[in-house]
Amino acid sequence: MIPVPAFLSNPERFMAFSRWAAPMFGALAVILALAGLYLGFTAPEDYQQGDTVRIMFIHVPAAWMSMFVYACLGTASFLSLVFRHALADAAAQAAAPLGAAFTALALITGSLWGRPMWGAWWVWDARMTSVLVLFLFYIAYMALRAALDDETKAARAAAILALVGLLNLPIVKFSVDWWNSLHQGASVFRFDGPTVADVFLYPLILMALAYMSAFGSLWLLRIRGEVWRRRAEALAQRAARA
Amino acid sequence: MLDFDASPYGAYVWPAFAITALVFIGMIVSAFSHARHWRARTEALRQIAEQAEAARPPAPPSEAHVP
Repeated sequence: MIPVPAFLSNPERFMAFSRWAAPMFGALAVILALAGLYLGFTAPEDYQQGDTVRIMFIHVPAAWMSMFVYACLGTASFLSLVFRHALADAAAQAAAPLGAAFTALALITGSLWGRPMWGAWWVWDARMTSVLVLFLFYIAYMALRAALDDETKAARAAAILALVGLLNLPIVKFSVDWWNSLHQGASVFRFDGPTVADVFLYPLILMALAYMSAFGSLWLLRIRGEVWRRRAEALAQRAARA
Repeated sequence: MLDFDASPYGAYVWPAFAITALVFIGMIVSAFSHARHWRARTEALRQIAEQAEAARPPAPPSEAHVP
């Protein structure tokens, strides 16, 4: 059995933990975003891309988050499916709309960056196509949960779908290595260190941490909402039986 | 020095930032309204359940307690 901290497996303890953790992550996200935007708008123009390089500070973190959130969704789905943690299922359900939003942002801002740099809003490049597939997995997960009336069956079916979708993550990550792509290869997470100049790297890292903190805050808040919703439905069922 | 002059790419840079801001606002509003709605609903249902419990007549004593 995988040890799970009590604040992640016990709803009462989770509610007590998230009551202070959600606003703390939210405040951290605001501070990091302000610092990242300040450094981003004081950085010089790129000698090849001009001012479009500033789109990198909002596009790349969104793309990273699209994968990270899906990894969270997959892990929570696994815990829900195998260990029947009710909070894990709530966590998976709460992650899906946030992941879909980050993925949509990655696609839209990427398109706005691609048009002036590549001359096209969209191409069926391996990276872009696999991220579109990732977006469709998020949508399918939410649609499947909404389509089935029996919440237990919906949770199981959606968890299985989420686990299948995990196979797409390495495809997104390594698509630029496996196929010819308009996207460049990895330039930050490399064994030999980042190849991005520090003036662009620091705001990029700060913005990525801001996105991560924002996700932490919103995820906790959405899980709290899910816990309340499940309590409300349990109370309504009890009232109907009485 | 802050550089907000994105020309000649302003038509791409500013919409990207504006859409990002809108999506974040949407995520924040949606998360808050979802949590608030269900918290209020839970508290209302809990209150109704407590009132129903208080209004219920006491159960008659069982035979075991009759002297």
